[in-house]
Amino acid sequence: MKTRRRLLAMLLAAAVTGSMCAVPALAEEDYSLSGVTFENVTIRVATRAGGDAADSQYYQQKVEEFNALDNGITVEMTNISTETDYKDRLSTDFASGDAPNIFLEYGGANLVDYLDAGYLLNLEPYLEADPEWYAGFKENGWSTCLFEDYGYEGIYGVPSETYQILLYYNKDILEQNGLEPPTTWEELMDACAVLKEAGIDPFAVGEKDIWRFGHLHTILSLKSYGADVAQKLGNGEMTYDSEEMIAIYQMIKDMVDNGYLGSNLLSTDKGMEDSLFEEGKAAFKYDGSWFPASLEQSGSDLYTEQKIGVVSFPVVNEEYPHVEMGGTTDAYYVSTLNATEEQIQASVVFLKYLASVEYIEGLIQVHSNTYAYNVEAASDNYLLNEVIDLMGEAEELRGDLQNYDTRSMAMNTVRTSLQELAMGSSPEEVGKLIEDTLAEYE
Amino acid sequence: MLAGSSFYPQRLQMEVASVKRKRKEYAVSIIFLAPALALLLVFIVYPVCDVVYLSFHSWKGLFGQPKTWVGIDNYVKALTSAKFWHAMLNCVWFMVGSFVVLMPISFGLALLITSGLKGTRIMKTAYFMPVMLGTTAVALMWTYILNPSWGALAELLRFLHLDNLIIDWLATPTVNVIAVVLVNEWMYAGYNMLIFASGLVAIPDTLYEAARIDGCVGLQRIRYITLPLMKNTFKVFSILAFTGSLKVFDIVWAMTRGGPGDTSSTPGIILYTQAFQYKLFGRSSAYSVILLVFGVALSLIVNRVFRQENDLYA
Repeated sequence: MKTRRRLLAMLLAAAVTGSMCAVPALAEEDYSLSGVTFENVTIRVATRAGGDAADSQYYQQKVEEFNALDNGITVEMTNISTETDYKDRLSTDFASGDAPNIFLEYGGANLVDYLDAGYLLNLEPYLEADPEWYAGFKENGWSTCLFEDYGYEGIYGVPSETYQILLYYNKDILEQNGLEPPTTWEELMDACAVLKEAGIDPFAVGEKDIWRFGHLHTILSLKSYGADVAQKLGNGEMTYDSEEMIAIYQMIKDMVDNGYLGSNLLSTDKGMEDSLFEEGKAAFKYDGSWFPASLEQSGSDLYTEQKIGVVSFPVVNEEYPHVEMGGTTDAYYVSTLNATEEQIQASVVFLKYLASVEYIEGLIQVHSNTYAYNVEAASDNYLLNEVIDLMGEAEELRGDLQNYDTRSMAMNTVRTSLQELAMGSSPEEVGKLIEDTLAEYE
Repeated sequence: MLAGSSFYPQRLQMEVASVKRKRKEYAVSIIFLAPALALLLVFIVYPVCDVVYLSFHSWKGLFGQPKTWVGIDNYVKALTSAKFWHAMLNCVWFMVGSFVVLMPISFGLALLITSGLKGTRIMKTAYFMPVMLGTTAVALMWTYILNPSWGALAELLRFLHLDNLIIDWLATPTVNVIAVVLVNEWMYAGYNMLIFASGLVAIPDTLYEAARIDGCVGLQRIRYITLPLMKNTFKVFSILAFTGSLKVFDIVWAMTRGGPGDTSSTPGIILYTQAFQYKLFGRSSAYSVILLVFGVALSLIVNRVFRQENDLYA
């Protein structure tokens, strides 16, 4: 009798343990989803493709084409172009349990909460089961999909675009003032002084959108202290009120005080910033590799006459000439929250559609950009071709510094606090404000 | 004895009938009230209870994830936050604006449209139009007007050679709050005009006629007849002004998003950003409860103030 009870207990224990091990729902050979059929499966996909931009229109049109395939999958779109509104919507969806099956995000600490909750699908087995799909992505594009630093093995997304922050310049303005495109920070500051003296705005930064100073802070930090600064800030080895960071705030502050970043920069948003540069009202512009596409679509004469040039962001510390801000700008993630197995599989099928050669070739035709796919499609955008060449020179890339921080509120806190530099606060005050605010949230 | 025995059953029967009638009336009342009560419970009582519950917990806003009990920690952190008190100060600007700017303008407009002058219909529509435009449209319009580089106000000042008056109105601390307050008053003047107008038309003409016979004309009419008889309207306005100022969100969000920095932030914006940007839903709920308590307290104080005045007049 005792032996039978022990046997029963062992069997029960084995059953419980087995169920806790979460045996994959699919056998290894099924992850390719080649033989899977779908019947009336609806998935929701959240992206920022909500505006009139060519790439947004293209995406919407291709989704409609996908829905017309009659493959048993229907894609419902949630497209919100404004970043803040989009992210707020995502937060609400995850709070209410009505998360989109696929969503676009920027990786980093933002997603760690979702990972901790087990709401992100590990796409690695699906990618490995479909080598053609896996090989379709550029090798350097996976940074926003990996979370090993946070203790998670696997690939939790597929990249969409790669980027790098570069320095664009107006050729005519520089020529008229006897200036060469700057390669070092000192040269840039000298050029700014000359331009300011000549009554020309060196930059016209749209700091109403708080990520503009955020990017400047990141690129200056990387160029000053190397790629490690991201990890050091993330793990607390370096703080936001340290001497090193205060030196960076001081660089930004000096530019503000000297009027190098334009006037009324807190009332100027990124759209206005683009317009001012495209109208020839500013000499320089630090921006991502996405800018050539938007410049082309703006219809600016400066583009058609090839009057805009580009160089790598100037070297600040000669030790780190090829450390750049960049990587994968965004990626698609699959949510498992309240999702059925069919919806998860359908989501993977749709991701493959978005990475198909046909889709990418069409996308490059309507919106030339630096995508994360290994699709060779010649672009007639002269500036983009120069950008691609420059991107090849980068040796180490890091995204926003706060993406490496375990505190998910770090990004907003730092970006909001940096605005204070344009409001008269000293670098020390800004450093203290960031640390105090972060401490409030601990 | 016999009379008594026949009287009591009759009375008993009447009482039973009365109770039955009352029960029936109660049942009918409950049936009619049930939909409203159900809506009240689902959309007001339950969410409030849930927010109070959440305010004592830590939760990152992920469905299905546990909420950790933290006691009064959220309240302590909320009430000791300098940002919160700065946001409360910005609310005070809205309250001051409501009583110093909005109330006189709205009351003046109400007097105008109830005066019987020609063209009052057009006036009503014109004054009410900003409300119909909607907050986002109004905010966007004024954001453009107030742009210091190319906005209409800056251009006007340049035309008048008053360039030194041009500042970055929406990016200068304190000035940006005052600018948003004034836009808010511009937008809601028409709405409050209707509230005051409804109070004005409720005053019987006979009172004015009697006053006129007694020699009370012009401003005296307003002081001795209109204002005392519109006390309840002013009470309604005051409660709406206080509670509206405490929970103001949309116009600030659309114009400045609480920035730059947190200079134009309000408690409404703080509770929103804490939840949806910082994923601190427990802390955000604590802010909500604090605002609720402040709102109820201010409403009670306003009621008390107006009641005391009633006692004085009685």
